[in-house]
Amino acid sequence: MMINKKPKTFAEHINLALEESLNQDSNVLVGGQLVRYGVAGLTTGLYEKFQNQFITYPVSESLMNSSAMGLALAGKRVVMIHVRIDFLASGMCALVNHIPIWYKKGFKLPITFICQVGKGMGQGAQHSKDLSGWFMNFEGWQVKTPTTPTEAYSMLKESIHGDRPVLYVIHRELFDSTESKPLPDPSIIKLCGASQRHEEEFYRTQKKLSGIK
Amino acid sequence: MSLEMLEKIVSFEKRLQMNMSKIFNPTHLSLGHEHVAAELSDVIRDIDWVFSTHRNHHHYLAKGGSEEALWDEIMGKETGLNKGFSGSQAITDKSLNFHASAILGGLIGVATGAAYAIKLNGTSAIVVCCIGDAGTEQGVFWESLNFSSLNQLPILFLCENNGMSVDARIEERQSTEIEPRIRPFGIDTFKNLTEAVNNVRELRRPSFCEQKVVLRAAHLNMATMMDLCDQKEPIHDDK
Repeated sequence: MMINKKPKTFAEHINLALEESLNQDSNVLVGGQLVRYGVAGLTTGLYEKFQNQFITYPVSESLMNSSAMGLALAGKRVVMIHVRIDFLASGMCALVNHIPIWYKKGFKLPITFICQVGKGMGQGAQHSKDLSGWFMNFEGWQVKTPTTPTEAYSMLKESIHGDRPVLYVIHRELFDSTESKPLPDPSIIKLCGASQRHEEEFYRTQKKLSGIK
Repeated sequence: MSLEMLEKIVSFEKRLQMNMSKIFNPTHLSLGHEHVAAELSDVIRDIDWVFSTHRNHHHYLAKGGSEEALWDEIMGKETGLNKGFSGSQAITDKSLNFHASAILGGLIGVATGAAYAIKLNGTSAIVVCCIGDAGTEQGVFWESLNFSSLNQLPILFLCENNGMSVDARIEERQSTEIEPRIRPFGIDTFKNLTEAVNNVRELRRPSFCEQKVVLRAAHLNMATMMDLCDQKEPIHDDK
């Protein structure tokens, strides 16, 4: 099958990397809760072409994360998509107690967790965290955070066809972007309990900085 | 049931019991559970996968594991199954498709993932996921029941119910009997282990088998882990 796409945005590059990998190796699997429905462009159009390589999960994050290891032990290359990194944290056991330890025991574990973060764009206390720092401290994990669309493509292909567990983290604001974007300075964002107040504070500060009244 | 396997497990565990003071990692003897594994050894095949728990010596020997490699692993030697890295609780043998973990219920989801891969691969292998009564208290167990029934995975959940979680009795922990809570998931339940294995093998359907057992040893090695539970070794006389 020839794949004839000219990707521009981050999401389109990720989509192409997934399509090429699914096409190239039937052991590549894409799993997650909403993977059939596009995930804001990441998997759009792929389920129709590769139905047998898609796994739809119930809202069971412990199972998603631990079954990724089982699939990999039995020879699969797994891409597990969490639409928020906060949801990945709901099923941490396998990510801390099993995957890194089995990797250290010498098992090839080609597992890529794609997670999005929404820090600084007004997504509230429970959709805004960036937990990737945790994984930099766990032995065995590789953390990848693409900063350009082409890097999004190459990093994902490397992860899928490599032999180790990878946390692939991408900021939600980059999905439709065709270029790198600087994140807002975290020192001007004030965390507070209610997301509405958080957003108000964020945008008021942005306006003040850019001189808009 | 293989009497040879039964004797092999019991003599291995008793040999460990005599050498407890030399063991410096948490080690859980399977005395009292051995007949479950001996029956499993009759019906398990090389291509099958077995996932086990902190109490795993009987399962490993039943899968065809090496006594010597297991012994050396428990003793923390370089010549051990995982070079002494895993200890008794988390032994892994790639050549036998055998994995155990110290984290209670931690491999239930892993076993379910392996069963999904086996289904995709179209081989005749099955997965046996060994748990204890407390393993059913973990959320991922119920997630895995739902998912394996939804996708008709070739997996047997084998529950060795010894009624104890360290010192806590099952009556203190669980609301009702386990087995009637499993059936509504659309999972076949069995009292007989051989029938349960055959059901998974022939119908490629998830199944559940509960075996009530009495642990005839302390929860774990008492010589070096004395502070962890309120028991003495051995707590049951052999009958």
